Amino acid sequence: MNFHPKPPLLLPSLILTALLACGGDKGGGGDEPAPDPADDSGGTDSAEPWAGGVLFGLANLDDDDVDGQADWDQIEVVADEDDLAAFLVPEGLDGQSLTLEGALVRVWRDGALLADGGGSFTVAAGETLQIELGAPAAAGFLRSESAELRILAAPMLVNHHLLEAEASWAGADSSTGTAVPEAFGDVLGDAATDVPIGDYEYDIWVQDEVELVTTNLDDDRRLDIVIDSIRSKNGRGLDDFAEEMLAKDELGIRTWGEGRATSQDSFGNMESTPPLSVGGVEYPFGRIYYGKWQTAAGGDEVTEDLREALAAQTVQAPVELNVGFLCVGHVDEFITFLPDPEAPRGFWLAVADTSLGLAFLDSQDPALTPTRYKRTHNYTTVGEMQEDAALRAYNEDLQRDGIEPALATLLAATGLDEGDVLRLPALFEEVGWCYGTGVSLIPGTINMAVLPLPDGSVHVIMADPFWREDSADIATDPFVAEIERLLPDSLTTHWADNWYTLHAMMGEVHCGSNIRRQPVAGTGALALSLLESR
Amino acid sequence: MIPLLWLAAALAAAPTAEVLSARAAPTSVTPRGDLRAWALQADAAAHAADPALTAMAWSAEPGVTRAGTARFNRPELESPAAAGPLFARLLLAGEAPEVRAALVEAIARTGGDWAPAMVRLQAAEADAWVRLFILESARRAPEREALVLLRGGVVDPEARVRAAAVRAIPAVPTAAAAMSREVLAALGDPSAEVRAGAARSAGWMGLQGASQGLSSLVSDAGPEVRLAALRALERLHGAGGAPTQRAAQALSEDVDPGVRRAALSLLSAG
Repeated sequence: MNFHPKPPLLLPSLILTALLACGGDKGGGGDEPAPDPADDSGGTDSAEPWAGGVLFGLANLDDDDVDGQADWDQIEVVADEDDLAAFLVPEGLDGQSLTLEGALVRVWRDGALLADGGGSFTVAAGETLQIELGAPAAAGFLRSESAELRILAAPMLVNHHLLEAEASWAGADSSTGTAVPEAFGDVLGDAATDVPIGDYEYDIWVQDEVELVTTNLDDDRRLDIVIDSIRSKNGRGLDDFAEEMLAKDELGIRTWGEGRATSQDSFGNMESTPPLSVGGVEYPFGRIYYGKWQTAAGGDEVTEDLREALAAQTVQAPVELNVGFLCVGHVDEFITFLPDPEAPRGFWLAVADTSLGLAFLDSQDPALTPTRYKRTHNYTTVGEMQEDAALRAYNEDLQRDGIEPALATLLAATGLDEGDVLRLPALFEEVGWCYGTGVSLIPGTINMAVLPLPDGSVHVIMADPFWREDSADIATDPFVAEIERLLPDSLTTHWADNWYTLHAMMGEVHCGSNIRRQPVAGTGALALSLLESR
Repeated sequence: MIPLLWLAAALAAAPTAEVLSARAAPTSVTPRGDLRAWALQADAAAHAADPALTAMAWSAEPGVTRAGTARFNRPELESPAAAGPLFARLLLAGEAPEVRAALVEAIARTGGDWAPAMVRLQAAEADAWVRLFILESARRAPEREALVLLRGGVVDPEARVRAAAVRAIPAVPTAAAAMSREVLAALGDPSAEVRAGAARSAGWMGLQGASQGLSSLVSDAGPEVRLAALRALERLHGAGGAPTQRAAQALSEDVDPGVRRAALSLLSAG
């Protein structure tokens, strides 16, 4: 798919004097064009030297002084700080008073705080001031009587499945046996890390605990941010996972929201589409989508602070889907995106389809005894499943009143159509104690990990469906064969046993793992220009 | 769903002195009417046969399901021999309700002879969350006990338990054949969740006698009830049937988008 984003907005005059202080050796406030020496319409001598000027920076959420606190949370310029945007005060402002507007913006002069969230101060021509930004997409202004400078932090981007996988983390549990970490190791080698869930109170939901997002200005200036969910607190479960296992340079860890968490605050419930164009609006980073659990019992949704923060990024305008037909209620249980160069737009919107699942079921030998379904799902033979009228009715209802409406919402919001949809067979079962909502009966293949690699190959790790006797080889598994038949040839498939560790616990491969992805080169400048224009 | 607060509870149990004493001096067969004595005996018998599995049944810690609830997922526990010690732990260890509910769920997955004891426990259990899981065990119980569990469930004081019961009826063949009256009665339950569940079951069970009640529920205050009633009428009369079409017409401008969508779809199909 080709995109024709608007060119980055020109930053006509201020940017000539703005620079990013990156240890003093890096310049540029985004991808602004090089100044034209012949252009005398602006510059520091202009009567309105900041007209139209924009200064871009990164949110200072990392921990340059390695003291366990985000640098923004310390009201000082910490040791080894390298995330402040700086600019030279032009001649025309010599002796003038500047006023800061912007709740998450600070102005520093040689380590001295001039303004924090507001306030005025006097400047001298030729001096360098530093701007510190407190959140992705934070915005503000510096105003004098005659000019203004707009200040923007790069937005955080939820990465989509077309982006290369850099590293992974997968829950490992020797007591129940899981082949998921091994499968990630097969694909990513040393970049795959096992998470010993015994150290985290057997909370295996690595996907749900954190969302790994990126902000960047250019290819050299990237800050990864871990959105740390409110789902676990006070050291319980995976609460400390981000701090203990994701540490790296240029990393910020942030939590939005507080108070009572719902299942919708888990990040299996937040994904991004690939790049899209919808009604003339370009989404070169895709659109975020997350679920709201709307049922008879009421409505649970992503915590308000995070929804507001994501909306404030503007460039991936979020879409909300009703996931109230699922007990867990996460979007990754029934939708994913798969790269494929042969697809109309370079990717497929893959969706769970119980009509196909029931058709698959009806095609099977009723005498087959898939061993693992006996205890976990109470079916000794395929025939029992075929004769279960309630199971059939349940899946029919779930498809037309649950999955299809959610899919329709997503299609409308993305400009995609049925020609972009890849339907994969699935069967769900009712969770009686959970308001009659559903969870995967056959391990959910949609709920897979998608790993594009630098060599152009794309690997997918899916839950072994065990549609066979335990003693049989996976090569004989009819459900595996059916999924392999339907998936694009461009994908390299990996099937991992996650039966007891994840499936029996109401999740699958994607839920028990997480992936850090490489932003596409140049996306920072594009994101900034879109943010600025919107 | 369920916040992870239950993680703060102790997650592994140890056999009580009473349990250890029973193991040391096994008794003869105890009627299940005396649940406590039966549990002690079942644990002792399991311990004599497989001490390692019995120890695991007591010491296993539940994991966290993705919905935030507790669940035991050790594959070794999916064994009939684990039912006794798990039941003894359920009855005697005094654990948090979330863990006890997980024990009920684990017991039902053992394939053991647990159902008669579960019926007894249903009548005695004070915690609604645990009763909900006891009710759900009906889906895995032999038909006779399943029927008893469901009959207990539909009259439970807790609406959530009643709703789960009416939803489970079609999944249990003997109950589907014997409990149509309870389903019809539940169409008028004060709880919207129960009414919706009853409407769904009426449709799945093909209860023609529910048609009038379902048509009335088309104007119910709960959107989930209206949708369930519409779908039930569709199952009873077909998409083009007059009651279905009347209901779809009435709901074609429903305030709830899901109900409206279903109604419009049925109108176009009819």
